[in-house]
Amino acid sequence: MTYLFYAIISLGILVWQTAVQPQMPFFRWMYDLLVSITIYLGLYRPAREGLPVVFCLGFAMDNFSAAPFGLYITSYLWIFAGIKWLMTFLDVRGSLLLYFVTAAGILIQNFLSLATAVAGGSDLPLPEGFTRGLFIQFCWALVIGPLFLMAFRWIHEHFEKWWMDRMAEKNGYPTLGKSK
Amino acid sequence: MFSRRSVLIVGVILVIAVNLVFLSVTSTRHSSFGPGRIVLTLISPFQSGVTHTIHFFRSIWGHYFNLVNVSKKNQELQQQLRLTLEKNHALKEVELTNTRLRSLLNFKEGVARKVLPAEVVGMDPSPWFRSIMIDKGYQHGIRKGLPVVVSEGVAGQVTDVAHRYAKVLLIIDQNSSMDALVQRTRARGIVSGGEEQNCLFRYVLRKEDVKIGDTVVSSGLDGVFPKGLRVGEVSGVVKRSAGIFQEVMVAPYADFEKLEEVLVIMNPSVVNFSKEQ
Repeated sequence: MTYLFYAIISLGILVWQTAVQPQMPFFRWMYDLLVSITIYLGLYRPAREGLPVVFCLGFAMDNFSAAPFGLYITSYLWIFAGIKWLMTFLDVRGSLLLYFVTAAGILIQNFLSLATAVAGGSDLPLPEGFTRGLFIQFCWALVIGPLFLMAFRWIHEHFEKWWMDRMAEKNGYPTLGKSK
Repeated sequence: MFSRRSVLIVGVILVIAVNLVFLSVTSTRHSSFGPGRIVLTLISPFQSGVTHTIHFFRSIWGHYFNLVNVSKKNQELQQQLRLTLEKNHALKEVELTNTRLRSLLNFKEGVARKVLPAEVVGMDPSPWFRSIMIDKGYQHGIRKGLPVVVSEGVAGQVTDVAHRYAKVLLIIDQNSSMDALVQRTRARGIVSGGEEQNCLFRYVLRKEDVKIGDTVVSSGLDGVFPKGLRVGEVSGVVKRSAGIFQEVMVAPYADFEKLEEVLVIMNPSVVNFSKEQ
């Protein structure tokens, strides 16, 4: 059921990013919202649950983008691994650092894109819009990144509770809501 | 001999290096693996549904709230139509003359292009890369490499095809390249993606005469785009004191921010060098 939740949320974000967002100039430099999902998985879910989801998200994005194949898979995996490593010595979940986690993820993703372009022999200079675009994405991530993380957590918890209640009702057990 | 920490650091550096090498290799190829097509097939219908819904509401807005401007616009269009008809008559004469002269010179007759209209259902999720998804795929005869145009000019080429959907790499993407000519002087070069919504016209010799406002058209020599398709207008020329090439910026005629429908050329009739060799 948890994977169904991830599939629905990811599909919604993917469709939003590819079909709705490009038609709204205000959101032109919005950061990749799937990074927020990746960070959420890294912060709040076990690795064995998060890794397949992160891989599938990256695979889907790689197929929808003109980016070199693997860019999204690897950037999400690096972000996920980075969060897991960070959590071994610093719990950012309840602190102000939560504001900077998404922004750091965005930086990792963008620098990986840039490194790929350079490693691929692109003779384009650093695009004029790169630093500006990166700055805007960074600001978006600072402002709404933590909100997304909290929203995902809230929705996920309620979704699981709702599902457990349905299952309990179906099997004749007291539900979580009614057991109080 | 080595501490665990230094082995870990070296390991991470190695993984990063392998990662970058892998990405630089895949950046030269524009096609997804087999399962990738399944992803396109599964998710594109949702994109299509959302895009149609947006277009539906937009059309309601257009039809019911912009009626005030319709009358004025109608008069302007009537005027434009008259001018266009006059121009059309003149062009017919030119066409007839062209046909006569071509037959005199024993030229092959141009093959009529078969085009397939397609609707844009999705755009690239990344601001750094430029591609679109269209609602036509294998089922409609689309195949990899077919050129895609809009009424204003060249849009891009098909890079990936699923059953009912296809991905199109736009000419403004940094990985896109097409052989092109300056229409006025026949100066040759390669049009590739530049900054923002612009293109760069690379490898144009310094001695060539290129001016701002010149039209750039496809040369037909890249084996993808037929000859003579409008690409864009020269928007800037920089001749440095050193180097054998000049830097030419091209503003594409197609407005990539507002792409809604495109045409896929099904029989591009380009030169097939491999067969000729």
